[in-house]
Amino acid sequence: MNVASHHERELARRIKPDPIDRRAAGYNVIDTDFHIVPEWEALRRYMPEPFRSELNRYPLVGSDYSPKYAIGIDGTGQDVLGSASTAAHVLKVLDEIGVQTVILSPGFQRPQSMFHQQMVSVLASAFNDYMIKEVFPESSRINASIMINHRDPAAGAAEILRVGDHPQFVGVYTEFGGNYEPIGTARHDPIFEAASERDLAVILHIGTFWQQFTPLAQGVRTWTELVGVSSVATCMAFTGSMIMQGLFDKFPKLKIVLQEGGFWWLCDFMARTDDYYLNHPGDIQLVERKIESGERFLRKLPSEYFESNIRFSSQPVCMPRNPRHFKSLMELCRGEDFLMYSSDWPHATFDPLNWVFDPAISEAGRAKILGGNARAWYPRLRI
Amino acid sequence: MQEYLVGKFSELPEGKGIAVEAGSSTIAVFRIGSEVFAISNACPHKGASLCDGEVLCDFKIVRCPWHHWKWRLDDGALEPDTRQHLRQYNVLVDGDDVILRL
Repeated sequence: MNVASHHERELARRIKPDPIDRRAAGYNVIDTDFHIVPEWEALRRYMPEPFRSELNRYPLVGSDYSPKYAIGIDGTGQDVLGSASTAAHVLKVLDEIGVQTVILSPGFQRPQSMFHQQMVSVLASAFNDYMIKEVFPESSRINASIMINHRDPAAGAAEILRVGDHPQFVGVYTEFGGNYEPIGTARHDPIFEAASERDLAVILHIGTFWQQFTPLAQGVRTWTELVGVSSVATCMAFTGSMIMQGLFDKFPKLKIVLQEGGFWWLCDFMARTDDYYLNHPGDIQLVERKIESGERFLRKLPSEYFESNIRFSSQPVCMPRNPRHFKSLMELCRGEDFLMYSSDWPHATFDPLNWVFDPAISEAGRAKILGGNARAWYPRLRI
Repeated sequence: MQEYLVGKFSELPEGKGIAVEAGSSTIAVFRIGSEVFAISNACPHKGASLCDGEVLCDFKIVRCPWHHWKWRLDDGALEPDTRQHLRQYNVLVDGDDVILRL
């Protein structure tokens, strides 16, 4: 073996590298999707009887058909990076991942798909009260969305009215997914009316995948089919229902945030819905909101409602293999205008903010994605 | 070629990674049994530090701590798509010294 003598060797320095891009310190970064899961015993203190005494754990929903048997991730939330239940823990992680301000999402989404509607509403209210009493007072860097049960629109709207004046609630949180009716139908209007009047953005986060007892679900064998594909497909279905059924004509100020439903589909979706709409607009006047208003058409082309009413949390950003295509996709989908940074901590699709420093993104776009777009989209955010 | 002394072989943790700075490079070094491997520390996917990844000793694989991308330590390939490679570094054991050659 030809080994150099020791005097020619330098000592390698053992380090603990920080994988978060240090340039992030120059921005007031806002994370629009970070999950908190209260300890069960803390959460149940905020439930009314008899739930407080008798409901002794987070309810699990149905049998679990999720094909996660081979992905090496334990737990229902794919919490690969930990689990935060307190403000102190949240703040510690924010400092580690380069985030200044956060909009928390509940990290126990699956109960929303329970059949027991009153129990869903009880869990949502308990989460909101936990935030008000135990999390918000600890730091002004922490904001959250009001958890609601959207399948009971009257209860969802009532919850927005109950806690919606708290200054650290900046949005309304619920889910899209295969277990739910697309939320654009008119029966959900009490929720949208309450949110719109209070300048609260409505956040739709992926919650369920293909509905379990359907041919679509029965054909699923892999994690990528379930989480990678059905999240995008169901997000598109929800988006189509909101636009085509006149939701944004009835509530022009309404702001929607789509979370974890993909993004690159947007360029196809915009062109496709415009084309189909212009080919066959006759059924628009038949939807409930248009019967109510007497209008025959949408007030804008379907693609134009994204500018006025819809934004996207960024994660997971799935980079195309050809780096030049990233720039093209960002332009086609207006990424610098429509994306708001989100980490999704601590889930398996966690995104650090490093991708925002890709040279394909302009300096002005970087500032918008890391905070500017969120400041504009969450009017209640005080930073 | 420049040589860097990483440390003593006997002090390298078995089945775990450490990161060292050598020149301008940050390199993850792993010991599995009598073998030592050195690869670029940053996962090409989203930049996590592979020195913090779980080492699957039987398969000579490090699993990225953020998204579980599996990198083969012996040839630097990504296990499910071997067209993708990490940068590997020449590492040798000289007595009890572990030496990186860049």
